[in-house]
Amino acid sequence: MKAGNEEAVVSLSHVCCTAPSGKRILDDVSLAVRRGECVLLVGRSGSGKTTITKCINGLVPSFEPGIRMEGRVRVCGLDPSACEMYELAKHVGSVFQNPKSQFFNLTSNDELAFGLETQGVAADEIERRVRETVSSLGAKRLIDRDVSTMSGGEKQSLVFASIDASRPDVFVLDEPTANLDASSVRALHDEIASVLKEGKSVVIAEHRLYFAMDLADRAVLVENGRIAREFAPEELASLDRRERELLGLRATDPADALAISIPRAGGGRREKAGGARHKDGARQADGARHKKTGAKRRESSLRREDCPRKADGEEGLRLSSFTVERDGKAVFDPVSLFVPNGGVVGVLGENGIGKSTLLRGIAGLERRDAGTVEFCGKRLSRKDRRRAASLVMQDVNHQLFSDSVLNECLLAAGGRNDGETVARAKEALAALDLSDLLDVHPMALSGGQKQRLAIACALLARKRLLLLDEPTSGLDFDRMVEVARLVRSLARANIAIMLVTHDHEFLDRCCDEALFLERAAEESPDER
Amino acid sequence: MEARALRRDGLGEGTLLGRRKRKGFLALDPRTLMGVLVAASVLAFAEKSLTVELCLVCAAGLLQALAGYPKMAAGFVAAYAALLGILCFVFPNIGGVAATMFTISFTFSRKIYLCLMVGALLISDSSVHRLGAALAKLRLPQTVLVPLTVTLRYFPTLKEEASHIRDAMALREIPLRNRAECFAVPLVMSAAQTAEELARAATCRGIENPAPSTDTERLAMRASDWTVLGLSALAVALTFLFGGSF
Amino acid sequence: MVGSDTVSSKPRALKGRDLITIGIFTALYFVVNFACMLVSGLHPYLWVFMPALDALLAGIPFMLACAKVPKFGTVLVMGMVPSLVYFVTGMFTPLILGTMLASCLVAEVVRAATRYRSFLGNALAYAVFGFGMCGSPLPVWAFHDSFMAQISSQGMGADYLATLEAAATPEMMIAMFAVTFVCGLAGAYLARGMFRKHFVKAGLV
Repeated sequence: MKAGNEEAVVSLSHVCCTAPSGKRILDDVSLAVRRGECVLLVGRSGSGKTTITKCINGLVPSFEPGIRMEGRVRVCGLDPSACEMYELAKHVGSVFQNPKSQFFNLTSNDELAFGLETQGVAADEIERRVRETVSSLGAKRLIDRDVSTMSGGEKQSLVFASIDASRPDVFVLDEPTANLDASSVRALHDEIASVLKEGKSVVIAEHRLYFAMDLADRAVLVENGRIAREFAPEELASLDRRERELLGLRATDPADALAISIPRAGGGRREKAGGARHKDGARQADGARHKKTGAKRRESSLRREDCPRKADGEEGLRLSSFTVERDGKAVFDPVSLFVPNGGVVGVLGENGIGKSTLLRGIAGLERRDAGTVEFCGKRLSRKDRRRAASLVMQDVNHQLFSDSVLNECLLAAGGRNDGETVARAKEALAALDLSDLLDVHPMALSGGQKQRLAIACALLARKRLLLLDEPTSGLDFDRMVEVARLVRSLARANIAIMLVTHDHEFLDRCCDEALFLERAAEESPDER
Repeated sequence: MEARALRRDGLGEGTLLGRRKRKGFLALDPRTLMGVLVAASVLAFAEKSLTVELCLVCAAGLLQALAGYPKMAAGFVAAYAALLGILCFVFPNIGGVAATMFTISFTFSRKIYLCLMVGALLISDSSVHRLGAALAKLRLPQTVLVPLTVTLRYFPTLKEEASHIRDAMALREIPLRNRAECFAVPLVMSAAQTAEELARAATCRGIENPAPSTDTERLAMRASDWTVLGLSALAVALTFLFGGSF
Repeated sequence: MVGSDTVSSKPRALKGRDLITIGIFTALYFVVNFACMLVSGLHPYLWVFMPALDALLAGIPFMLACAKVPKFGTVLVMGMVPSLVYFVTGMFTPLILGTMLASCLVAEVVRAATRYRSFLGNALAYAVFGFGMCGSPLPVWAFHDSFMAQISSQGMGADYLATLEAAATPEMMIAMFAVTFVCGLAGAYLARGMFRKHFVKAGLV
């Protein structure tokens, strides 16, 4: 894989980018990528990794007119700031984070041809190249599909294949795996390996390091807009855990990243509800290591509330042979488990197996389900569940409705605007580090802040059952730890929590037990 | 040799691009059907007797059947009979609110029935991509074609987003007076975000390239296309000349 | 070449990215429009005042598209795309295609004259844009005799015909245009309320 050819395909020399606010986003960045080389950009969120990719694919400056750029960028001999984007597109292909918003056609075959069609390449040639791409990437599963029915992982593979069909020299991937599960990550890994073998250059900005360790020729650590350090992959892999986490990096060893050390859930009524205690010890250790001041405050100020229920009943969520049905068939194998108030259960499983559907089913959002859901000893109908549960969706943008953070909270608290409600709202916001943002529009918040606001709304509606769908997708190490800590402090406030995740590092940090969702037995394995 | 290569890579026979789901006796170019559609629109408000109208509906049904959609043809012809029955026998006799409400829209449907038939055939027979290719061949500028494609591509996403927002609202007990706003605002926000991200992705893939796009559908007008067009023109001429008198 | 996008108000040609933005907002407009079309089938009066209803409700996507793409052609594209879809599905007559095109062109002139960025200009353009949909019930007047003849040949009673005749007077046609215009202005103000409350604050425009 090592490049024999020393020619630099991408070169950035002394590049500085300044935001309209005057903030330096990139500060004297110099980077050369040789033909056939795979460079991994690592570092915390907001360090400038994405901006480096944007300098290469031309989005800076052409899509960011506010950013002032100095320095010299050359990509395959072109200056991205001076040439047309469609010229650059022949040499650089980009994959972005969100698989939903990158395709342009309704069918996969047309999407594969799209890049070449815009160039006006002859139809037979397009046909030939698309075939080549499909067979070299082993992407037969992507052919003849309706894009809107593809899973996130398939869409991301389709984007990659479509770009490969136009044969660019450089692939720029900006957090391509943020929304993918382990098997889709593996598919993407193999696709990247395949283009590297053909001598293409690849630049990946990514938090999940483990998947790219064997692909990368080197890793570049970006900190505060500067290139702080370069690692050979072996060097990066040999960092001990403490050192790596101080740099804000995720696990590099697939064995670590994919390991699960917590017990399995779903043993029925027998298993005891004591997991929460021992986990808190680990949390304290994390807290001490990272010395986040907000966390302490948060822990103390979240109010502990108990189930409105006699002492003899069990406190928590119990599912008995619960499954969701679609088209008369069970979506996943029936689930029986107990989540005590104060306990956290993580749900694992392949993409498309129905993890989100399980959460939606518990929340009473699915039309047909089987089995029972009890909360605090009481069997709940679908309507009751919609009142009892709150769900923080993967795309939290869908669930923020109001024109300011405070009003969002008041709306959640029942639309009242009296002094007591306002005081409660402010208390909840303070506990979630949102006090300074009362008048900000929810959509102007960062992703993490939006997530916390949605949680604040759940607390204010006095919901004791919290469901989280992929709360850490695309987060760097520090932020992931922060979310884990938040989940634990919510659990301490006596809330029952169930979360879906593909992030095993996160799972290990905050869940008491893991539930492995299985495919329903009757379903035929045929997937066209 | 070519064919053998195709079989080896396991991607099936024929071309990957411009593949069509179903083929009938007549494989028509979308442009032909657009031409027929124009003829149908012209006929919609021409004066014609019941006999002529029936003949035209049957002819359109025949076209649907020949193009490989016999079920569609049967459905449309049956629905036409029902429509006619309701308009001529049911409404005049029952009167009342229902008749008042629906007479005008049913009458209008009857007027544009031919257009609906040909339109249904056109969109069933051609993918969005194929329609786009046909419109490009008809010299429709990119300025309209690109947004048209984006609009059609966004509908499934829009539906999905709307259902997520409805779910989120169901979990939040939103007061009735706020519902419309609470639904519209996140929907518009997500649309704006999609627009931004899609624009980035498409620009990075070269959508701003001024070169004329390749027609991977390989559209071509064949003898059958011209025949269908000729017959449509003939139908228009005959209807205008003699349509009222039979 | 680049970078001056937000500062200058000089209109330039629509770029690929603008076309995508317009396409997305057109999808939103289309959904509102289609819902209005469906409702309009319920009663002759609803049909006549469907363009007004549409104008009242579809202000947000229109005004957002105008704000995001302050160039010549935004409105034209926004009108032509749904027209094409309707035409291809057989739901549009040539008459409505004509009114759509004409109203879009006038709306573009209004926007150009007000330099694309004034609220009043865009509101006026929107009100004019609403006339496009008036082409849908227009056959009631344009093909008045043929319509009436068919309905009476279908055997509807005289009192129904009288109701319909009342709905198809020239006065009604004028009322339709007037109400549509007013509703267009109201819709634009409604959209402005949303802009102020949400979109500006959220950094959308």
